[in-house]
Amino acid sequence: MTNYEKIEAFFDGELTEAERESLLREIESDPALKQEFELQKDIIEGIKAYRKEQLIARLDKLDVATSGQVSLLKALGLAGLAGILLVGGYILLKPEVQEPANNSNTNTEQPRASEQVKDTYQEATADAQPVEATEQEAESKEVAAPTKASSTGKENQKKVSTPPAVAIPEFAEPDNEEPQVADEALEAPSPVASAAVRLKENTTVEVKFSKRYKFHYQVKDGGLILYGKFDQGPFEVIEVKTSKGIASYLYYHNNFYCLETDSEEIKPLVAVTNPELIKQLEKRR
Amino acid sequence: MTEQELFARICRGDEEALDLIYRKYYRMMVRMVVTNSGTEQEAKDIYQEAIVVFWQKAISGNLVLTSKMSTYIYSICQNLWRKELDRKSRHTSEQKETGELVTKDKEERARIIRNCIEQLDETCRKVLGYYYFDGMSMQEIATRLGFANTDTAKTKKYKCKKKLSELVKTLYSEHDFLD
Repeated sequence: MTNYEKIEAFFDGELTEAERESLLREIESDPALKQEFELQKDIIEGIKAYRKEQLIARLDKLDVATSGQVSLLKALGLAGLAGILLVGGYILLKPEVQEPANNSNTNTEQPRASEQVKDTYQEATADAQPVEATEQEAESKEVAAPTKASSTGKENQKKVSTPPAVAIPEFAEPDNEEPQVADEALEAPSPVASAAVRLKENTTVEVKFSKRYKFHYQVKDGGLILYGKFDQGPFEVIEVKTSKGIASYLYYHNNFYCLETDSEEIKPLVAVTNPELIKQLEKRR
Repeated sequence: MTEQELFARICRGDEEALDLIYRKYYRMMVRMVVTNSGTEQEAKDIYQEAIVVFWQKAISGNLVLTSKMSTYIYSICQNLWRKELDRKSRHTSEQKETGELVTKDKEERARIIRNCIEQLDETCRKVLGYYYFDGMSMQEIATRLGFANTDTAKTKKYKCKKKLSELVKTLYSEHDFLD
């Protein structure tokens, strides 16, 4: 075995402990061997440095301005703002409709499917634009409600929270829930910008992250709280008049979900499966 | 894609998965440094360093995540930034002067070695980088670079390293002569 091979074997971890010690002793007493050893050590360091440099150069080229956490927050901010508009419209419509006669049924789409679905849904916010949230907006703890607030005034505006209110401490404490929602943001940054929000003004809505509730909703104090990954749109609330009253549905990711307004319980969003009802709801959209 | 899937991809040496992770936590990590007396550039450098550390640990196969990836990377960032702050505070002008000569010599050697690495063909650069930096096994290198078997990878690594050594020695002699 040549000196080069011995040194190579040393750095590749192929020598036994005894062989290693023997080589190190040899190095101490042989300047030429020591020189070769130092050179090989430097070359390996050079190879590592070069590879590291390549990896960092690769990372450096990546566009981070519109991705990662920022886009997640933006997406969530947009979802929240869209939700504000959407539920605002829902609440405004609420006084105009009758309560469903029997709203304790958790699987309401079945009877409704055979009923004549009449659209009471209004294109109330025909001017509702997809909302572009800035980074500051997305990171702010409170975002003012739409300026259309007139009857409910400041009180309502103060209640309106956007999802980043939950996300903020997660920058400092990564143990929190942020990564649970981050994967979707990776694939489709800020898709909510195109969310079709059709309902109008003035109510409170919160989109919250929760370890417990992954895809749930709650109707509370006239507002809607969504729990889960609402970072992709479009989504809409659709109301249909039935013989039993007004039934509300959330449209999200090509699915319709029944919204029960009879209690303040946190409930899972259950997708409508009845094909006939889906067909009717599609028409209403 | 779930956290586990992403981590598994990184463990397999998938650089695109690393890109995803980098983008995903960029703001979070940069913010930590910036809010602790760092500049945006320092924050970026620290984060990139942390990502590379994470990468090396992940593909070594020895990393078992007991927390979220973000938590792990965050703690690497914190440690690196703490060290950097310590280094800054201890860096007196005296130390700077005495260290300068050694650093210059080292830098010159590193520059020569770097030049030689660049003279190698791409396969050689990859084989050596995967082996010495990423710590990939010969089997992994063979699979990744489409070699017939591990023996081919081993031979290739040996030849590339030998070639690099010769190039460096040649350049070193020229350098000494010119000096």
